[in-house]
Amino acid sequence: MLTALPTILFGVGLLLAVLREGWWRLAGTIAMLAVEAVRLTSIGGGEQAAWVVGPIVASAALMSRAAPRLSFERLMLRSAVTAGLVLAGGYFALRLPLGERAWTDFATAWVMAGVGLSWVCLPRDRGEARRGAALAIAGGGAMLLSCFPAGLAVASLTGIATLCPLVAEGITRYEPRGRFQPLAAACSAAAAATVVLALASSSRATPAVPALTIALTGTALTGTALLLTVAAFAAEPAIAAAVIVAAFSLMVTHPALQWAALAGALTILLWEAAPARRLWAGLVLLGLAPALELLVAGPLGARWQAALLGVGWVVLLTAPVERWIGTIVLTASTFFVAGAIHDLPGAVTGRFAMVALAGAALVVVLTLARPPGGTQAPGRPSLRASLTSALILTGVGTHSVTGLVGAVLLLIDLGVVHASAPSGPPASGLSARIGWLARSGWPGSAAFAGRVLTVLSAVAAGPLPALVAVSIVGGLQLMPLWDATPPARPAVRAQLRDFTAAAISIAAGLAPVVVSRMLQGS
Amino acid sequence: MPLALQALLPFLFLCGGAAAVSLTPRKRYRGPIAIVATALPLAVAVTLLARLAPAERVDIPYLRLFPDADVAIRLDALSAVFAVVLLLTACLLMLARSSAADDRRQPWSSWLLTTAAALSVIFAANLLLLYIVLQLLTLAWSGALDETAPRFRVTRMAEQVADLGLLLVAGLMTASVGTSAMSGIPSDAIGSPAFLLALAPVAVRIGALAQLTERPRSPVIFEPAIARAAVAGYLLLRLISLTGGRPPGRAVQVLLFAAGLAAAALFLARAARQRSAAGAQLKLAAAQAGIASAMCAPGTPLAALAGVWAWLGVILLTGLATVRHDDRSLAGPLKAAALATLPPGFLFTGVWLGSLALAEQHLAIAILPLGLLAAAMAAVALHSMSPPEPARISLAAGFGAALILAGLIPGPLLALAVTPAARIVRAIPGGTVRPELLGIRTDTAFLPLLPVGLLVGAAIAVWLYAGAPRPRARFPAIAPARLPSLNTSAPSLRQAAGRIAGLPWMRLGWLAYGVAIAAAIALR
Repeated sequence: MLTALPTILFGVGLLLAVLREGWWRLAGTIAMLAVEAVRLTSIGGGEQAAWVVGPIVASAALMSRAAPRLSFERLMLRSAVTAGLVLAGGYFALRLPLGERAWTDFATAWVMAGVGLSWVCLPRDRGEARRGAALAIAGGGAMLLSCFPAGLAVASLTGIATLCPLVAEGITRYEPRGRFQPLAAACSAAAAATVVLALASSSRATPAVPALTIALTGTALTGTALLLTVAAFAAEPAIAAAVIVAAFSLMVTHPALQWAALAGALTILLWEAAPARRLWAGLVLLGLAPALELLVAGPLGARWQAALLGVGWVVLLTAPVERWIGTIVLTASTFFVAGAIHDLPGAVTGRFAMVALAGAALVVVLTLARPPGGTQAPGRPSLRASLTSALILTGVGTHSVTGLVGAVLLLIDLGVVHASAPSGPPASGLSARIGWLARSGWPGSAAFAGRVLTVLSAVAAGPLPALVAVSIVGGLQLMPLWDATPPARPAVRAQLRDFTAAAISIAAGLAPVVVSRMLQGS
Repeated sequence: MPLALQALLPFLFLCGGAAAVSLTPRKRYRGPIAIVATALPLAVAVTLLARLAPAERVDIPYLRLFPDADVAIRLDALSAVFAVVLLLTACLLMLARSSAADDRRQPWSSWLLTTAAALSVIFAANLLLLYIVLQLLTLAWSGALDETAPRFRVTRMAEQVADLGLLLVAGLMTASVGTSAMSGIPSDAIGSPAFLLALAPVAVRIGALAQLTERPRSPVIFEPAIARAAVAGYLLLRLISLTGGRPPGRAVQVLLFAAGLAAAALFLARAARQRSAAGAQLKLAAAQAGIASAMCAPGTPLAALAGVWAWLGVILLTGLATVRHDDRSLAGPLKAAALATLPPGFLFTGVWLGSLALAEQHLAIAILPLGLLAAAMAAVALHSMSPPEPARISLAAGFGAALILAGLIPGPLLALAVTPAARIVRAIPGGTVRPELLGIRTDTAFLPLLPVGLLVGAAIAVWLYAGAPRPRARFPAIAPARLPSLNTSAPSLRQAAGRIAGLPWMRLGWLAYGVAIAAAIALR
């Protein structure tokens, strides 16, 4: 009876959370979280119970209020999705037990994440989507903490990541005013400091904080610098907050904290249901990768991990998101995956390369399947952006430093230079020409250097990657024949941001060896 | 002066000249500045050629910007000779342009930058750098910073895509031997497929030469000689030098020879259909590039000499063909005579050496199409001649006369430029070709170039001034309507295309991706 009590309590909490509103839903959610905290304590010790603080605060702060009712069809669909996800969670817990522990010890986390996902995918309103996101992060984090037990700091920070939806709600109310933007200045300064740190640090002596499992590797620092640059260019508080959380996810090494921070970062940015579904699908796959590696023991587990990393990344890249959000998703997920594949066993890196190549081919097919030219739907990436994403997949898939350098340069082109490209009539003069060069694929631009290095790494990886990479680069060069959409033009009066973007592109394009040094350490 | 600094001087002069031209407010000074900025690098290149010992190769690394590849200059006789010829041609073209008063455009800065980019192709020390500067050259001659600009779009994109072949070879070399530096590539590292891939930039540039048409408003067309002929010739010879002096494998040799002759025949047919003499001469220059490529195929010492001679000639002749002239000036017949592949044409020496190389290989049968093509090219060149008015002498006339003279007395050019450059392409035994006063001698034959050339030249002059009957018949033109063509408007084809386009590609893509993922997980 004593062992069944938590399960019964969890079931009651689940029913309350799903079927009721207001205080009853909060009570149900807290009951579920409390049961999960008890489970975590039994698995990894009392320190893991610190995880529960964040989700309880988030649930209380995001307590449900009266929301519009769903139509009958939508309600049925949501019920089916919830039931399906809960059953799937239970099934996974049953089929993939960890050691000698009872399957119910893990089912709670799976089920909690499933309920949260059903709220995110089919929300009644924005508030419910946020509650769902918080519950999904909590469930996913708890599941990973069950697989990889951690200390007080990691467990509590994993829980605190569930506050990200709350941060998003508060931060969107802040509107920056005036010409001087302290946020952009602070992000720029932080990005510059990170670059210096990356160039100065040695790969042999990576600074690490064991209690928090933080490791300042070259990959993490480069990703952080790039994310901070994007935040400086965007000059939006929500973007800056997301970037800080995403950068944190790159620096930590514990899978639970890493995944929860990444999920939290993306939660800050996105509330539209359609792209959120795709993003959450990708996040779930990325979170499942380390878990399945552990739960499905042996070489098959490693193959699952490699495949899920690749699929999750591709799903994230194909999400229909706009400008800065797309940039953050692309940059954060690329560095997240680049960091994760370092830990893959050597035997399965080929599998990851295969999945990444197939993903690149898929992105190309999806791009070419749409009609040429014409007006673009909101959130739909340009042809150049799609092909460049495919090339990034190919570059990282080669699992080489050259490929990663190429991918970083392409990220600079896509995330910094093109995302910040101003619109307006063409300008003349030297500065306009420099702007054109920075945004082009000619030698001297980051895009050119990135393409060259990606092709070189693909050629070294084998004939198939080489064929895919060369086809994509050829497609990028022939793109103006296919896509009649004119590129972003330098503005009549260029701003400091435009000059900075051009300078970054040209500096990185002229000396990619600097990026290589950042990634590898001096 | 240290060699490392001296090798940089041409680039400094050219780029400095481009900046000076842009900053000079008075338009009439811009032309002379550009000419001086090209003449100074020419002097430096001549000095570099003189400083280099026979068969000496020097790599000068400067700094590392790309992983696994230095920014470095490759100095040997091949690069120095091509640099001299390139800069000489550029200088002459600029002189011709500055003497033309009917064009107010100011192309000097662009021309200087194009020359600098072409020179950097010639001096690049590794294949990756070669690819990068080839792209830079395309940017320089097209001036299309905006990639969607419609100007020269097809040619520009064709060059960009074809250059990927070279990038692939650079990657293959880096992966297999650890470097793409020319000095570090073993002669057997580049196999037949890689060689053919690397030839793609050459093929596209020769094709682009043939696409050239007359521009009535332009007294000089700069890019064909500088950005295409010089680069194509240098690339082909450099690739052959990297593969040990001969194209790898018999099949590649045959393919190169056949493709060169086929291209020459095609371009010649187009030249024969041109209405104007100038248009025919532009196509003839492209046809000569095809012949020059075929000359390089046998891979013997004589073929190396023939190839270098022919390609140097193609650069100069393309430059000559792109200078506009009055129909009644002396330049017309002199240009036509220089462009002919029979005496007194410049290329004849190369064709003769190439024929000897084929005979050495017991491939006398291959000489027949070569000879027929040479005769046909001479016929087309002579057809474009008309009696000149002797008083009207121009720079183009002097350029043509100098080329004819260099073709009739090949000794100095053979000794100072062709043989040293050919020694870099492959080993040349001493005495393979011995220049004499009246002609050139090899181990098996003697060609009395001077008397034959003078005799034929005199005959042509008599024929022109005596009003002898000139061949009026053109090559039979094939009307496009008579050619069997694929009817793309057929309903069945349209329906098929519609059905293919109507397939649910997105779903099929996701399905195929799912299969790939399942395979990645399940396959052992």
